[in-house]
Amino acid sequence: MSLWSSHAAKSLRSPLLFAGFVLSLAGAAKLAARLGLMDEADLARRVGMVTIGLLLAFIGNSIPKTLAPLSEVRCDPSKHQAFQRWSGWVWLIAGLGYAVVWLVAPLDVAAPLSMLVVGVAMALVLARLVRLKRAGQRAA
Amino acid sequence: MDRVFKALSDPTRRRVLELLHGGPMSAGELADHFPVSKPTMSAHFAVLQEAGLIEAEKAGRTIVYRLRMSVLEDALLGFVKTFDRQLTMNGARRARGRRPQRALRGES
Repeated sequence: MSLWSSHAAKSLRSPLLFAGFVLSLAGAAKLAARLGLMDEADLARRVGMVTIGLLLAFIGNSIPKTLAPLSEVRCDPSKHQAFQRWSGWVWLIAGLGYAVVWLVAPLDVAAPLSMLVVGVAMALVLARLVRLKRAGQRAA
Repeated sequence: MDRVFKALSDPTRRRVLELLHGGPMSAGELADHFPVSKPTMSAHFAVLQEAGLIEAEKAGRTIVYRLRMSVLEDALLGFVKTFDRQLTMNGARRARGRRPQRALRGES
């Protein structure tokens, strides 16, 4: 049996595509700096932060795809699924928001604003997680 | 990605995904919602599984299906559903518009 199964290929395809995207983004940024379109120091910071935002969005997108076996789910499986889908949406939107903030906002505004975006996303997910845990304890 | 589009192109498969949005369901429970034979339903489940949109798990003697859609696949399903609804509404509107014309033609 080949180690390079279609399942392994499938699971590697998305991260590899994302890595390629990040590398091309860095290349495009370098080119923009060479052409004098942007200040190099600012550009490096912006590209780094936009990449972090896109990484957040990428992780958020795949959250609902990571399933635990049903026997290991401690609360109502439908509520667990709803929580996963919802947190996926929250992180995807937060990641895109983070990237957009670093792409367009002035540097002194981008730092606190992007932190606010991530903070709100984290608070929303934690609040829902606590609610889910409480519902699970009540049911048990 | 073409597998995902193929899976979403069928209304029965879209309905299966809609039902699974409510939570995991057994194959029998899902099949009860459709007036089709079990082999047909199994074929639909296979297409959805192949596209990576659902996952099957054995629980005793039953097979439980659950959603395995990424956020973007979920958004794509929502888009297809909206587009489908719009097409159905436009078709119904067009059909309503044609009926009086036919009636007029019948009178003359």
